[in-house]
Amino acid sequence: MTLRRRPLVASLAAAAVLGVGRASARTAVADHAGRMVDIPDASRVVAIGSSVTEIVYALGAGDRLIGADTTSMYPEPALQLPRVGYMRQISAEGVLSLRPTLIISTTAAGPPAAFDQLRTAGVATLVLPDDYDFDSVLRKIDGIGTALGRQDAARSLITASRAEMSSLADKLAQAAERPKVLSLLSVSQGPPQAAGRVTAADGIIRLAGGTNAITSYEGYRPITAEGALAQAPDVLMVSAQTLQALGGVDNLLAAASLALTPAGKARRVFALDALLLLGFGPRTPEAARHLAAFLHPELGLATAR
Amino acid sequence: MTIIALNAGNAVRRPATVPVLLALAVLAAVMGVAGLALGPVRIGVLETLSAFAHRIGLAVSTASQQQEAVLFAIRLPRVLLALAVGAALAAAGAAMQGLFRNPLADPGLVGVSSGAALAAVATIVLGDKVLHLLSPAMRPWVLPATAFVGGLLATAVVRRFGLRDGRASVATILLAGVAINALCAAGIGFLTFIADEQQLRSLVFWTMGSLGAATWTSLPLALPLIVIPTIMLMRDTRALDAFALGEREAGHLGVDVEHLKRRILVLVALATSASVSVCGIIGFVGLVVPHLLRIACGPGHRLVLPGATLLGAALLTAADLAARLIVAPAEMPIGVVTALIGGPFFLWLLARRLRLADT
Amino acid sequence: MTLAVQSVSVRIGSATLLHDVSLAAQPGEVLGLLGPNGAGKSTLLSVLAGDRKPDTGTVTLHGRAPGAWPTEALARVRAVMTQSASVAFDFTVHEVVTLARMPHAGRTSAADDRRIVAAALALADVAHLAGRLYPSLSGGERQRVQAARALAQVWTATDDAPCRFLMLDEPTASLDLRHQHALLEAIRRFVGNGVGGIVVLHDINLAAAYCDRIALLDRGRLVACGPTRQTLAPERLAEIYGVSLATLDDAGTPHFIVRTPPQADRATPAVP
Repeated sequence: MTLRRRPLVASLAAAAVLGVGRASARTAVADHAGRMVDIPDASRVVAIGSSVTEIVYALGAGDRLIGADTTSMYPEPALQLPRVGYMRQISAEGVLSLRPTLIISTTAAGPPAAFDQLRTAGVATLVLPDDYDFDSVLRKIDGIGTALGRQDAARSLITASRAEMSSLADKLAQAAERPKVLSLLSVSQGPPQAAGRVTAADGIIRLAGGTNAITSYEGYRPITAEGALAQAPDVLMVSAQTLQALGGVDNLLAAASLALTPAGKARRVFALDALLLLGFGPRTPEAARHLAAFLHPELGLATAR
Repeated sequence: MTIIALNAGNAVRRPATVPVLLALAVLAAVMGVAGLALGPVRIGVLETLSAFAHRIGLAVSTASQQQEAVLFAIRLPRVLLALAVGAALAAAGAAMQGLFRNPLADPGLVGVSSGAALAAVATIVLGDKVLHLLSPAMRPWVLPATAFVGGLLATAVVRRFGLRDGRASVATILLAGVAINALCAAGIGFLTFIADEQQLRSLVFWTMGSLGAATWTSLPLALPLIVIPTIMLMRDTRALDAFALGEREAGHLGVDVEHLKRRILVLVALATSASVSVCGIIGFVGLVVPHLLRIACGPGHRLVLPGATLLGAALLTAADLAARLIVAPAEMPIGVVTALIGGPFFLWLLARRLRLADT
Repeated sequence: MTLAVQSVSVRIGSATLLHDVSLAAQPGEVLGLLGPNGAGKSTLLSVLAGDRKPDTGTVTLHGRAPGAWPTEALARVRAVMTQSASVAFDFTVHEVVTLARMPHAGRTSAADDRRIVAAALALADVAHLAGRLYPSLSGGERQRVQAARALAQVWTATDDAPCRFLMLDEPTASLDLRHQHALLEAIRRFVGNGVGGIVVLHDINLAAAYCDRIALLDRGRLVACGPTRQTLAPERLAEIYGVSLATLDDAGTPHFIVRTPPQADRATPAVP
């Protein structure tokens, strides 16, 4: 507690200096359903969803966070926050016990009954739409920026992100082809789950100038070795955590019998931290650049920011 | 006389029914109050009392608006649901064990839980197209309603298979129940396979069970459907005792056997379907609670049936309190808590039965 | 005639279990149902008890078919002891016998019920087991407890009918010698106060000693029915059972002894 008290005091001081937060006129932000959510006080915030947490930190308002869900593991200070459970299994009373004045979440969180209860308890509860595209990231930044009275920071983050994405898009326009990427989840036992349409993996592959090898279904489904072979992926994409758990590329190719695919023969396996790769938060341009550099080595993209 | 004196040492002593039931009622009440008074949000005893006094027009509440919301919007419906569902599952378990003359019987045996879960999962995965046609006000009802009907349907199918010449064969019902449970599990597996990510999230609720869905919108319909059949089960205590002698023997003692079987199956299906439809599948309560009572107080249903009802209410409320507190501010799925208590107990029970069979 | 079957037949599929059987049971007497395996004794008992409706013919208990009786009233008028001796769950002997008073709920006082249960326990010689758990008893003890339960069920007169019936299916099957006689003696005494006893027996000598009348069945047909002495003619028994019998007279009660063929006449079992 003593650890967190100091930043809180600091944030209040900052709010007073900038004339935002409590002192400002009433703030209202539109949520996913188009309802205006009144935010009288944004001093004690619970973030539910890793992208929300990352955006709050990116806007320099991390010191207002008093709790986050278990998927919020970036940046480092977020790990010190009290955990209110898995984002899809939120307990209303658990969140309320932290005495928040604002709860920010996305449509990916649940259950709906818990959010109804939070609203009933009179706590401002802002649920933002969550889609797997760059626009959704910008909308989240904008909404959270307004809610926290950090419009300027949000605006500059949006401008910078847009610039980064459009420079990437310009480069990708020169690319000769769009490599087929097969994104795999949970490779450890049984057939691996492959990402189809309407997934975070599908979204990031598009942004990075690739095509998803799976177009026939939405969501994640188990895929057989033969099925994977039939899709003829040029690149395999997994999270760094999955690759590490398996113990390397060889084990990945063996475990899922993927050695015969074009990607397996060429040993083209792309691995990146799961939250960075699939988070659809402020680091999405960075993730897209990493993946684009891997997919299009001929373009000479720099991966360092 | 010496023989009687010699055997007096062997005599089994049973506790008196009324004091045991009173004690269990007090326990359930204490758990209910604890469920209201305790939770991740700290609310003082005075605030709790004054908030309730205020509600019934007695005093000015000293609780804050948020504390009142926690008490009345979150804890009260949740505690009421926990009490009702715990009571219903335990009573249904006790009645099924009596009806099947088997201490390992469970309401799930006749397919009611898996039928309800299958219907719920089907609604989540396939219902999108249909749900749009309904007014938004009706949508929250669709899932509990289909789950409820699904549970009843599965039981009806199982019973239909068990009927021969107008008589229900308990053994065939058991076997048909196994088959229906397997079919429902296959259906759930298939629907899980074709579900998208959003739908999968909702499915988790049905496999783990949760009392988190307790709101004032769902309770007014669900509570009577859970509580009334449970209370109606209490009428059958004598008949279930007679059933312990065998079906035919119960008939000789004046029990209308076919009527009793139909009645108990319908009441159990009603109470269990209604429970599952609001909180998903919560395992082991129906199995463990009647057992505890039989071991402690003997098998007479005059004590076991109402006793299991009260103890079930107390235990599920306590389990829910534990689920809310141990990982606060997060929440443990209640199915995990009940299975953690029930699993080892079940194994112990099996071991004990095996030991008895050896001697 | 208070309990009677008239031209009763029972069939299951193509098998005929009972064929055109007519007989009546009277209060104050013990009627023995005798016959070899598969003769239809238990089937006849289940028809008399009202468990099974005959395919043809009629059953009347005090003028009405058993099925026309309210089940509780029927339970006050006739008690049945089946061959099933299992009880689910750990009930005590006392609790098991107390169940017999179920159909009398609200008609007799709790004190009366306790007195009746105690008397029935004593009559079946199981009073000393009252506090024991039923599943811990031996087969013979269980059988005596089940007999006590049947006795307690029809212990007192009821305003439902002028007399009661006690039906027992092989009550002595697992009993030792002393208890076989003790139980049948107890039933004889019990029948004395206006109850009709119907007992399925395997032991001809027990039947000869304790039954007033005998109904002799063979392959679903009633071969003979009448007073014990006349019905149990050695030639008739020899024919039905397919053994040769000798008769001893013990102070008026006949005793049957199976004549075993001499060693040399026995077929050598063809076992390798």
